[in-house]
Amino acid sequence: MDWVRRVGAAGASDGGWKGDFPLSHELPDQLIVDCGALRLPILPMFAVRLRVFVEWHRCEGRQVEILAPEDRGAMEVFRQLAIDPRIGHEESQGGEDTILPVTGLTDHNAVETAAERTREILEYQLPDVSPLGQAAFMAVAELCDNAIDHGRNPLGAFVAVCRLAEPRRQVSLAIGDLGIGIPEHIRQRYPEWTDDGYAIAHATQEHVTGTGDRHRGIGFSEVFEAALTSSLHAARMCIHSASGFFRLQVVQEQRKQDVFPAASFRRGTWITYDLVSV
Amino acid sequence: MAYRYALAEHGLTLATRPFGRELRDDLVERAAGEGRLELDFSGVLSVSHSFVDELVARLAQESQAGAVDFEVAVLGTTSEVDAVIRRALGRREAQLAQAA
Repeated sequence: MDWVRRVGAAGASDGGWKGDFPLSHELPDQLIVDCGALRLPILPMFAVRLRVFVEWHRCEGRQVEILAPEDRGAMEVFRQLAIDPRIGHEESQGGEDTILPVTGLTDHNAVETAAERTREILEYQLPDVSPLGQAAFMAVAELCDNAIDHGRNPLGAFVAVCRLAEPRRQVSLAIGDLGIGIPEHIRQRYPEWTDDGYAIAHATQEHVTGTGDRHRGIGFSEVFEAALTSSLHAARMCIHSASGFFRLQVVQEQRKQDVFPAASFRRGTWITYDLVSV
Repeated sequence: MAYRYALAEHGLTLATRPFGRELRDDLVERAAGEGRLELDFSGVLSVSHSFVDELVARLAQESQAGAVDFEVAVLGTTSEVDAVIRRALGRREAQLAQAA
């Protein structure tokens, strides 16, 4: 019997985190994800999660069919984002709101290309959000560098970058990998940080790293530093890894962080980062 | 004597720690015995912190510690690139030679 998941209009719900796309060996050989009811906006985290679901199960030998959105606008963005590489990916050159389609990264050259492309499009093609170019470049470069370094797994990491107009003009990034996850990585050095959410919060602090190199553990700080020196209204990062969920918001140089227990365990590390324009 | 290296040969944006490490390893050999290494960022628009930490800050630190036999200077930076380099140096508490 086929496994069918109807997505509904969940593309933007809850920051793109909503909708369950299980990575389970228990599923049958035929999977169908029905995105017929999907509506705009489609957030990058939704796109990355669905693409990872598709790639992971296809690698496992399952047949995965994605039923495209019926809504024309949603279908266009769905195609531009390359959520299912088999649906019109070759023709897609991105759209005016898709800065970087869902892109698989398996090495550092790919990270460099993704960061450069993001900056190029923001600075030269999207004047309304071009001041965010440097901050977006730094985020793609550092966060994807981390994902490739610490999130090693056969699929690599995935990144997508979009421009959104509502509720404010912003650039939104999503990055996901199926690696060891931040809490487990950080506990290699700090085994006492048993709570996943707090382990993630600690990992975002300067010079906290699982590598043992005292000069490492600066990527997150630099991502926020680049945001603070850009002309933006706010920056907001959410990280879901294992059973922890961490959120950091910077609004006019005021930082606020929250740690929550995640609603469910999530393998790997999943990050959304929103740069909200002034 | 000085060995000048144009980073823009590798693109307008430079990112990732492994790439910084690769260039550093290469330059340690190339600049050996030259007395001075000049890293020319002319034309480079953006750099990631990890790249700069691995290439510039680590080389500057090694130069101060005498682990390499040349001093390190940086040229042709934009204000954005300069800011990232200064932060990386500050974190390693390393300094560059006076730029020419």
